[in-house]
Amino acid sequence: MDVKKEYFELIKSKVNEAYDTQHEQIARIAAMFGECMDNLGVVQLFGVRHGEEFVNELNYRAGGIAPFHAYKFRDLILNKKLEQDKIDSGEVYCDPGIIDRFEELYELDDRDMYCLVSFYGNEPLVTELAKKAKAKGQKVVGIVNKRSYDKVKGTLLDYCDAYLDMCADEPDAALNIDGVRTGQLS
Amino acid sequence: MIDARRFKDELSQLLDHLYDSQKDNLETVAQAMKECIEKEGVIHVFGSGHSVGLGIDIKNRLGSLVPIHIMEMTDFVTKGDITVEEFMDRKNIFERKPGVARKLYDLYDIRPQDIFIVISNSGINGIVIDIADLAKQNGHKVVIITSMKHTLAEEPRHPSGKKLYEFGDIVIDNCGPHGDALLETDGVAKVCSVSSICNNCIAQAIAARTIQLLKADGYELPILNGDEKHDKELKNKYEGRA
Repeated sequence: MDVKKEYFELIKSKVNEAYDTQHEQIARIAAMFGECMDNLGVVQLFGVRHGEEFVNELNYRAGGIAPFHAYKFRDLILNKKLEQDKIDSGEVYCDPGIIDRFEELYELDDRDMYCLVSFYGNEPLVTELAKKAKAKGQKVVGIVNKRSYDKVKGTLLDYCDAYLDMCADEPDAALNIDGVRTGQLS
Repeated sequence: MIDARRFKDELSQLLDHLYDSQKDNLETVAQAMKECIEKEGVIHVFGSGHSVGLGIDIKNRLGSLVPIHIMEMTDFVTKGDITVEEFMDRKNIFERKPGVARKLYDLYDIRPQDIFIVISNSGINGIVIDIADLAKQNGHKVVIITSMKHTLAEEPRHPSGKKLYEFGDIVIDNCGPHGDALLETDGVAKVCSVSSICNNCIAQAIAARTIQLLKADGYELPILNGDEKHDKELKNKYEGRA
């Protein structure tokens, strides 16, 4: 099969798998979001590296719902609370103090809830934010790749009220081109 | 009723249509990327707003191509000499200022063999058109990714009267609906954006095919393989360019 076609077929199969295995959970989490918004809360979104792509899907889109807000490193940089080289070096991802800098910047509310993304469920910043939210009694939804999470014994879901599984492969490289692994599905 | 099943079913149909209608264009882009990489070139990716996700999805991942460079507006602040205040000025929107595209373009180490992928769903915003135009004027191959339904339904806003697709050597239609939202509702607005999903599928498919073509040519693959030493050396090779 043409490798381009192969990729498209894999994506469709994963979309079906995600629906077939989790449509009840999707509905349950949607209800949690709705309840938060009915109460004038905002669903706070955060993911790092490629996790930010999930965040971008919910935040500020055509036909999207307004009360989604994303924690973005870009905001810290543009408000001079973070230097770009800390992102380039990867240093930022291990500094839990970054969460405080976000919280100084944003207008947060006790009625808010959190939707947090981490493929392995072990990103320090994401887990730190989950812990803080849970300690305040706020609802937390985790988005992880369950087979990867279980492999590394991630911890994010310890702080989550619900979660969704990305259903991607572990490792996340679904195509095999003569021994070369590539092609992310997450 | 709007529910996950409806989104899944309509998305699957859209992806089928996208592949069937664009497979030849995807192949042409993969060939262009292969030729660029074999000449030690870099693929520069520029997208407005959420479109930037296309480049992010195929970068810094297991099996991903290293010679991909993402042009970002925040580079004006982090790499250029624009202040945060000027960049964030809501009364004088930065990206609409004349000459902004040239300033962004000049921030980077762009070489004759490089190619450009420019993405915009609507294809009418000034800066994306200016970047595509600059790339063309400088003799680079330009790939456009846009929603033809969306762009053909809009009036041009660029002073040239043109839309982004008119600057492409290769144009890929992401087949997204006008306004990007896929599902009709009973009332107010359509919901569920699909451009990111479509664009990411396009990106992953062409990246995979590019790798396959490079391998067939016996070219040493410039991809991350998870070996720290290998990956660091490869990134150093393209330091300052990607």
